[in-house]
Amino acid sequence: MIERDHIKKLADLSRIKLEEEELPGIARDIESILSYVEQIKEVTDKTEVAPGLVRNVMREDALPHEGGAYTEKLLHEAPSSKNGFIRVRKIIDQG
Amino acid sequence: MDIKTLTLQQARNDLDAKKYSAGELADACLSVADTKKSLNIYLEVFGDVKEQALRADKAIAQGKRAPLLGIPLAIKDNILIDGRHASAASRMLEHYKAPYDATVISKLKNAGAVFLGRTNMDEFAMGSSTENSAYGPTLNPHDPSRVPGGTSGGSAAAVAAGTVIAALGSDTGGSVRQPASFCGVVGLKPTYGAVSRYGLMAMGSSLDQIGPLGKTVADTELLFSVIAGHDKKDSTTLPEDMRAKKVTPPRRIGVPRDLLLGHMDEDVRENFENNLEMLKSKGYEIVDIALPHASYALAAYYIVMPAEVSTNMARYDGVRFGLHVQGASLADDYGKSRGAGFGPEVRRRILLGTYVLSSGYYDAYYYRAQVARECIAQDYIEAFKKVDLIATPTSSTPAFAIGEKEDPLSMYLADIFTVTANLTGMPAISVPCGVVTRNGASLPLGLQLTAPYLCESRLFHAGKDIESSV
Repeated sequence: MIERDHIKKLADLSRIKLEEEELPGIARDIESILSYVEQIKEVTDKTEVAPGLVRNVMREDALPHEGGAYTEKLLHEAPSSKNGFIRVRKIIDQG
Repeated sequence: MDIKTLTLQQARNDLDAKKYSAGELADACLSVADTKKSLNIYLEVFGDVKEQALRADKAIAQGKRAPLLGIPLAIKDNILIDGRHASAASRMLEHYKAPYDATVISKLKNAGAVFLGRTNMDEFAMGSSTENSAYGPTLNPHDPSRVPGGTSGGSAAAVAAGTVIAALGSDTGGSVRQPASFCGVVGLKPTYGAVSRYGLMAMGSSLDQIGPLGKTVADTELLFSVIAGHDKKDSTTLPEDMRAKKVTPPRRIGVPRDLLLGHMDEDVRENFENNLEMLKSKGYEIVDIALPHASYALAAYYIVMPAEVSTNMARYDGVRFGLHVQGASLADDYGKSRGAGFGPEVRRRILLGTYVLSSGYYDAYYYRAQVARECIAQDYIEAFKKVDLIATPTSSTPAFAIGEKEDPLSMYLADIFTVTANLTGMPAISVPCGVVTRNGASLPLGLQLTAPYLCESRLFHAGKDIESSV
């Protein structure tokens, strides 16, 4: 049974702020989805999970493009920037 | 000219023969897009369509030849076009401008395409109806009280309504094929790794593929040939030497009878059986096959996909790009930005993914789903030793009504036939195969064909046979 406290914990882990009144509805939805996907436990095969067609891809440890080529465009998308850097919140208190 | 029936091949011939100009073609598309505004197909019709078309005309006049030169296309809003907005139909990216071209976009630009606009979709490609868009649902051109399918509902409706010649969508669990089926157009989910995803917003990275939507199988095939190829910017694309192989044309088509036992509208079932008869009359051999693990596909999909969603969506932190909501601390900034930016289905999947990946549940859910996925892939590989293609309906119903599936699980069940191709990575196509009537409206159906890895050519071959008989 998924309780509202579970949802609160998951929201906290996922860094999503939810309103109190949203919790029961979300708990109900997640509960119903989990009760459907639960049937996966019937799959008891011992099959190894193979990597498929995927193979390891390496590239030279070199600059993929000219430095700074995208800086301006990327910074333009940042909510806050200064002197060519993304501005972030101070997280260390000097005590 | 009637854009609704104008195929890419016809438009190409007409433009090359100078029957009309790319400018006139663009005008005709823009005018249809304008009259179909109430369908909410486009999040934005670009302001420079005419300029793009005039550039194409200039190139045509100079004797330049390229497969898509002057051809208007619609692009799903999760594929980046340099300098243009790309929002994935989310509030999170409402003001986001793409800083570069997706590889598929560079390829389309090189082929001379004209971009008409960016199409509506379920937010971050999560949904099956386009109702999860933060900007309102798209309506089905065949019956505006119904959904166009999803998540590429805008792209499918754009083609069906005659606003463009063809379109691009993306398919994680059926998001190109199911809307193609609901809107009466052709939609292809290529082999995993066939098309570069550089510049596609990631949703379920082991599942996502970009796919073309067109009015005919030949148009879809042409668009696929333009966008496919190895890309060093996407390490999951398959190298060219793996692709270069001779594919035998399809002769035997397998039907997974067990899978068809579940709920399906009676007239959809009848239509499917009639199409099998038609394929027989065209010389195909129809045989029953067993896919013992395929009934677990939907459960496996709704574990693997949210797990990948919860990982991929972590990039939206309100710091580097996208919506930022100021809080009392850094953690509060994250929580508030993500809480305000993500709609209900996106949150639900992130929470579900976080749950199935958490240490106490990982083995019971995620690991089991990976095993099931492997078993399903083995079932298909086995089946393809006996048959060349596998046929099912694309969806067990025609387009459903807007608001009909309010509970998320019932929406998920709409993906029952399409998710397997994403779990296995095999290519699949939806081809229009007839219509059924609901409340006086004639609604299209789609037949889905699945082929072994990199055997897209078989889908096109049999797809054309279906198309010519409907």
